[in-house]
Amino acid sequence: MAERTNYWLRRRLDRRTALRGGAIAGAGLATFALAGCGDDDDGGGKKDEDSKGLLPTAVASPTVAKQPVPGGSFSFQISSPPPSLDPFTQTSFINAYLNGLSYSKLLRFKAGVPEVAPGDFSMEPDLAQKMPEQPDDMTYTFKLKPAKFHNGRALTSEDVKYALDRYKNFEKSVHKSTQAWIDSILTPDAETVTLKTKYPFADAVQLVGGNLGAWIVPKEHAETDDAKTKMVGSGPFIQTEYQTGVSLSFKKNPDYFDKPYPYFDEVKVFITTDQAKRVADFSAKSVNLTWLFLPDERDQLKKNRPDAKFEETQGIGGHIYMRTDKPPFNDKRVRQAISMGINRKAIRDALTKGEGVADQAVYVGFPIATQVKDLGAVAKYWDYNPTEAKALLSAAGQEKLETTWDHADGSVYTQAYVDTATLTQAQLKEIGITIKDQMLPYATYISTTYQGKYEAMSHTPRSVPYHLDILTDNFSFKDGKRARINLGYINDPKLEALLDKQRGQFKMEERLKTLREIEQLVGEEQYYIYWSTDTRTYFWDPDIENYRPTAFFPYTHIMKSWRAKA
Amino acid sequence: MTQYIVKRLLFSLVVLFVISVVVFVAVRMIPGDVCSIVLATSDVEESQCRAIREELGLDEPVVTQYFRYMGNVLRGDFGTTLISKRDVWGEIRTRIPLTLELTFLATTFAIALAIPIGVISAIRQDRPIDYALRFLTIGWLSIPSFWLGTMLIVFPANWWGYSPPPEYADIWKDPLKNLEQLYLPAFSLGLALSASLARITRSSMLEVLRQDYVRTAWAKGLRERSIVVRHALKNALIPVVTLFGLQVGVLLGGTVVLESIFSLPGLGSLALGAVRLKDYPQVQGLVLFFAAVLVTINLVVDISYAWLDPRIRFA
Repeated sequence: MAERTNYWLRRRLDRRTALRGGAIAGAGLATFALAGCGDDDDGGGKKDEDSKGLLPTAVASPTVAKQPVPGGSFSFQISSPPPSLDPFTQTSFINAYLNGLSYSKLLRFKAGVPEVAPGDFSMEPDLAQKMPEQPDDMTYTFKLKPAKFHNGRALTSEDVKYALDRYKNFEKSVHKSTQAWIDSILTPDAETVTLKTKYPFADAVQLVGGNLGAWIVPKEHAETDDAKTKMVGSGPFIQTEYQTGVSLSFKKNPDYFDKPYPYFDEVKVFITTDQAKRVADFSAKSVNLTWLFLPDERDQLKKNRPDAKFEETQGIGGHIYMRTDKPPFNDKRVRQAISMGINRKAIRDALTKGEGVADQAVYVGFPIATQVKDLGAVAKYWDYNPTEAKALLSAAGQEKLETTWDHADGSVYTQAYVDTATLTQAQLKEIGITIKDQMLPYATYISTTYQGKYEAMSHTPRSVPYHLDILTDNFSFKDGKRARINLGYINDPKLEALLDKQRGQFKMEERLKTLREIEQLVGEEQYYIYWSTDTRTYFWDPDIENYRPTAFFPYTHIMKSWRAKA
Repeated sequence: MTQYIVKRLLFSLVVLFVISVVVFVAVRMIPGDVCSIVLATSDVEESQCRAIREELGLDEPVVTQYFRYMGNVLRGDFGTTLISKRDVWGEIRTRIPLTLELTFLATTFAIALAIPIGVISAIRQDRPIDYALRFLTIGWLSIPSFWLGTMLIVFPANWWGYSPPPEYADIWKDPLKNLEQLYLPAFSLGLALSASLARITRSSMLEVLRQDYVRTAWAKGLRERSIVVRHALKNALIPVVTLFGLQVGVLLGGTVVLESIFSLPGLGSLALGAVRLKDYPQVQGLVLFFAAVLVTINLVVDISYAWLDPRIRFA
């Protein structure tokens, strides 16, 4: 097994290299995947014992050059129905999976093939002929490949401009803040798009190719109600059917711009909300790919399908958020006490057989993620230390703290999400914090608590990262307005200045210095209280070639896979 | 009889009206802002919310909203779903056949099991077979259908690598595959019903078997089969029919969970998905539809009693 490396620290990365995207790919390869692929050759996914509890280490599957076999069909399961297929009004990762089959973007994730690690968020050209030219810090020029939408119309630079402009300005768009960095979109000719940024923004490439606010939808489709249930893009697969809440069907796009992809003739997506049914269907060989299994289900599936290939990836974990703008959580000693009152190992042992990354700081799964033990003095706040926690509460005048904790039920986030709260609340009672648990239906939670409408405490799975500036979404508070997922009402001028600074730092070593300062500050303040992560396992049929899971990225990469015998 | 039917019909309409008001108000009292559900993000601007509320007519007084909604419903327009903008009635209509089929299969299974068990148990009262069957039915009654359904998914998959096909097949296109998908949820759903039907059949049969006319039949030297099937069972089934009518609501409730567990595209899974997404036009439409079905069934049951037993209509 490869040693854990911190690629970013060793490599001097300049902007051009970053634009080529190769560096991040390398970093991801070197540091992200928790364990290698399993198959019938090795008996399945052997995991290096030394890696247990540490930041995931790298094992990419060996790449074996094989001749693609076009044809055949492929099926996989998703765990909940997409609220809508319209990419302008949705941020769900479920949408990203599906949008990626029928829509295209300027750039796309490289992940999804054996040589690229699941969490590697580096980019490669999609509609763009190559990675963008960048004549200065605020200009990106993309040359487009000749492409057609599924309705037969040729895609031009005006379509790209229309879509990006709609993400930024459409009244109901939910991506306004995500794409706020775009100043103007120029289309000097039908195959050239130039993006001008409002300020030097080091993550522009990631956002152009990311999950949110990047899919190119033709105007004649985007503005109809059909866009909510039908995708008409220029992607590798044409949507043929959508049975609400049950399944989606796709067929190969014969005019796809990126030949020889896709290889499969048909793709079927089953919406299987019941975890037991997902396990059963894969056990019965009724579907070709299934994922997101915790250790118990993983072990059962390994028994049921010893022939299947599998890969364990790091789960994203979760964190507690609190109203840091009012008592008692505006006192950092209270937040620190809560963190020290949590026995993360006990929770891991109870829920995930002790697996997962023990301690997480502000980044989860990033190649550059710092381990808590490397945070220096502030690392102590992740230690389970009830005595110190009680002392901190006493110093804050909160020896007997009574508070509330709102959270969603397990219908979408899974039962592990609920159990984590239950166990944590029991542990916090030991240090004198009595919590009234208030579980809400998922839809209610999303429309109240997750909008910042809550009394005291809550928790959430962590957002899926594919750009470093995700910190701004989590921590920024400007002009009296919280950033998109600043659920803790964090308003820290010092932190804000650091966020502004890192955003324009193109040289990675410089940016890393700023990010380390942010990690220290956030660690000291305990604005969010992070749990350990879990592991999530993906299983797929042994005859599927050139496939590897991704960390919640769109499923565009299915187009690169094929069956050994179509 | 006509007067009785008219009275029951009017009463049913009142019940439906009350249900429609309760559902309409209750859905609006659930915490949460509709615009953040539609937009699915915490990054919501007031202007966005205003546009959505106007589009959905939520900026008007609730009473106005109610009468507009009911006016549309009476014209067959249940509105569109909140997020995907699909026709609510269209969604319900396409799902009815599966739920109907599942309910029918569960019912058939329950009756096929319950009547023989109830009869055997009654005619062999206090014998070992009676004890065994009573023990069995109490057991079935205590098993929740969702638990049984989950077990029927988990164990065949673990032991034999078997699971019903995941892709739904229409009964008219592929009846065998369709049945393969439905027999396990129908079994789960029907088992508890069969237990309660079997128990009521037993007690009703015991009562009828002690009637004078049955004793007379025995005295006449009729064969046991003839006495039980032709003379006793027919009369013993009246309370069974009553219970069955009442249990249809339970069956429909059971489909909500079982369709979701078995990934079946019926009304139950539609309801669960709508509740999960807080898609209130869909929830309203479904609850009204379920209510109308139940009220109609109860009406039919009431009328059939009156027809079977004239004492009821004059009571």
